[in-house]
Amino acid sequence: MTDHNPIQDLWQSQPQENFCMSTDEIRKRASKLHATISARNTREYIVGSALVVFFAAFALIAKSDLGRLALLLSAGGVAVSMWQLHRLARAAAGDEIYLVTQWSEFYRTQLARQRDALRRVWIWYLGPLVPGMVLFWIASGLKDINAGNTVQGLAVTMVGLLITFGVFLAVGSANRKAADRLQAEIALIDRLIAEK
Amino acid sequence: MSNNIMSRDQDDWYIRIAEQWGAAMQRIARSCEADPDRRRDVLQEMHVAVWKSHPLFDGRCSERTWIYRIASNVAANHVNRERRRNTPLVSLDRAGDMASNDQFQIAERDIALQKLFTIIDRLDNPDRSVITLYLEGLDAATISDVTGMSPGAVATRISRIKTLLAHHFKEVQHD
Repeated sequence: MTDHNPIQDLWQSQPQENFCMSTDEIRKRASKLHATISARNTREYIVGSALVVFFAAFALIAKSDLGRLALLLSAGGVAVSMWQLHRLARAAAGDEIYLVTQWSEFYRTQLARQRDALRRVWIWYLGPLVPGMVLFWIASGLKDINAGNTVQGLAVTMVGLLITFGVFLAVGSANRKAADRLQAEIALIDRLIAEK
Repeated sequence: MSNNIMSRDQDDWYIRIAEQWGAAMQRIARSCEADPDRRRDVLQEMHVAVWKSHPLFDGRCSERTWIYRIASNVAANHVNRERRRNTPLVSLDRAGDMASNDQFQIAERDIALQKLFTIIDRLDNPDRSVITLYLEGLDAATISDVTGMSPGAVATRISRIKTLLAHHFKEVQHD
């Protein structure tokens, strides 16, 4: 037994708030939770689908084959990202079962899932968008080059690619740092489980 | 028919548990959320999780351990979700430095409680979990069972918690 501490009395004698949930309210709340998650996922799918339609529609009216390909690849990239988001959301929904496990297992599972998502951001989020973005800037530059403005065309392509990759690298780096912080927490939990 | 019976069992079990452990769940919810409205959401989440857990409860641990696991996990989940908005969390090793300008000379109950919440609020998730369970009066073995931390790790943390509390609550300790 732990020794009794007066602060424990202070803690345990806190005034209680008036709180009561009937089992009907519990059921409503349980289904509302699912409805909220579904609504949030639906909103994300609608925004993603709108982007796919947007890129695909512009692909139809694009003047060059390269521009069309860039837009189609962008549409595909968004679709792949959406699918990956859907997979991650489904994996997160599975965490519910862990609520009854020991705190360390529950918390570690959550952190590991978040860490893996952050570490793989190039695969599931940034990577699928790269081909479309690269082709988009090449097509933009080629338009000027074909019109006889070679320097301007090269500048557009180079600057566009630099900015795009700069933003992507910054996003990737921020995610990697966040993943490292989560890994440090996971390592702490592992130590707490194994400590003698 | 059998679904109805199961559902009634689940409801009866939940009602009994809520009556017995409702106050503890409130305190744990309070340890992770200061805002009353959001705390109510956390508390509701705990109650829903407890109700839903009934089919999984096989008696391999006590009801007390089961309920504290769920409540601690919901609290940890909430802290994890909200921590981007919070100030950086610290471990027990550094918690002694907190509120150094205020040596907690005032012994009034509610102010002391507020100070306790301030200390808990600044702790990282593992330490927050242990200190809350310690304050709930759980022994080291049960805390180990709830959290999955080794008994050694729990014992070390309880020792640090006692030092931390002694440092901040001298006057309460001496009452």
